[in-house]
Amino acid sequence: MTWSFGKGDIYSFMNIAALYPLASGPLVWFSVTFFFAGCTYQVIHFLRLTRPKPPPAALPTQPVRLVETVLRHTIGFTWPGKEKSLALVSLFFHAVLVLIPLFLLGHNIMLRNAIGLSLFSLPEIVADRLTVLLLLCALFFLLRRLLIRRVRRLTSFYDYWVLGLAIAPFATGFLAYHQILPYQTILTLHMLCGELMLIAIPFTKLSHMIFYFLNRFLLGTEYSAGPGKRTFS
Amino acid sequence: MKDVKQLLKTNRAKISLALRTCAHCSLCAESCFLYRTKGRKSDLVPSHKLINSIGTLHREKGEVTPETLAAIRETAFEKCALCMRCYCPLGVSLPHLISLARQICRIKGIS
Repeated sequence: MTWSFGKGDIYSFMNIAALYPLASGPLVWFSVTFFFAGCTYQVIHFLRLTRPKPPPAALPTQPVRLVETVLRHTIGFTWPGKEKSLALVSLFFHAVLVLIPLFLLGHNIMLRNAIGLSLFSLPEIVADRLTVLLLLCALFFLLRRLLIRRVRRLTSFYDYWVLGLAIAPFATGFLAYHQILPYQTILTLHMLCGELMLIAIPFTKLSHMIFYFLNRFLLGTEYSAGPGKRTFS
Repeated sequence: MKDVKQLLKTNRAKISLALRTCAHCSLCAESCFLYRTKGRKSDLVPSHKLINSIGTLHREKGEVTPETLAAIRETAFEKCALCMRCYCPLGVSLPHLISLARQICRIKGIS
């Protein structure tokens, strides 16, 4: 589908649905390219800030013992932490946040139409129920920010904005799927929100998507998820 | 003062990375023995200490008022034992950066 901006379109531009050709075409490619380029930049930036470090001599060298030690330090101790319920909600939230967009039937159909390839698709009912659970998890995070004093003191407007940015594609996707509001408008809004989120990931607090893995798996600290082969230079 | 600016400049990328990675989740709270034993006050949460010590110095480029510097000193020296036990699920090296705030306080002659 091509996007044209001809005479008189300025009036229809006010209508979000009129942005559909733009949102489903050039903006998709721009946001995906920006996302991957931004992530690559951040990985390079991280690697330049750190230098290789030999693993601690105390770690066992036998593969089985090493795996056991790593598992004990990650899953057995550091991963659940003290707030196990929050860890569980957080794990579910983040897993679904990545899985739904990748394995949604609608997305895969568009992907197949665009490049001729697609991934495995979840049944629509499963994706729908997972979206509801994801939105409930987001509500949990929001209430936690609002109601728990120590979290509230750490929270700024930026944190609410980031949470909204992460949730908007799912909320609008849910509304579009159930056709609760004008379908074309919500669908366009859904695409725009998704694209905005992709663009925001590398350069906002959402970049913890990248740095979580870099920090936990590459940096050698007491809580590394692995031997930690790098350190800050 | 020049040393402070130089120190902040040298560590700018690291500080900025830590502040950007911190999701303000407060999961580090339970790993701080001071937080757990001193009435669970929110200003003893490790990420709060990070943001209000080196975070403030980074944001203000080292040019802080004496009152702010006194508050930073209190955070870095009295609200943190630098026991290195704080835990960040996103891997932010909290004690390393709080120790940097201490270093700046010392350079400024307040410790």
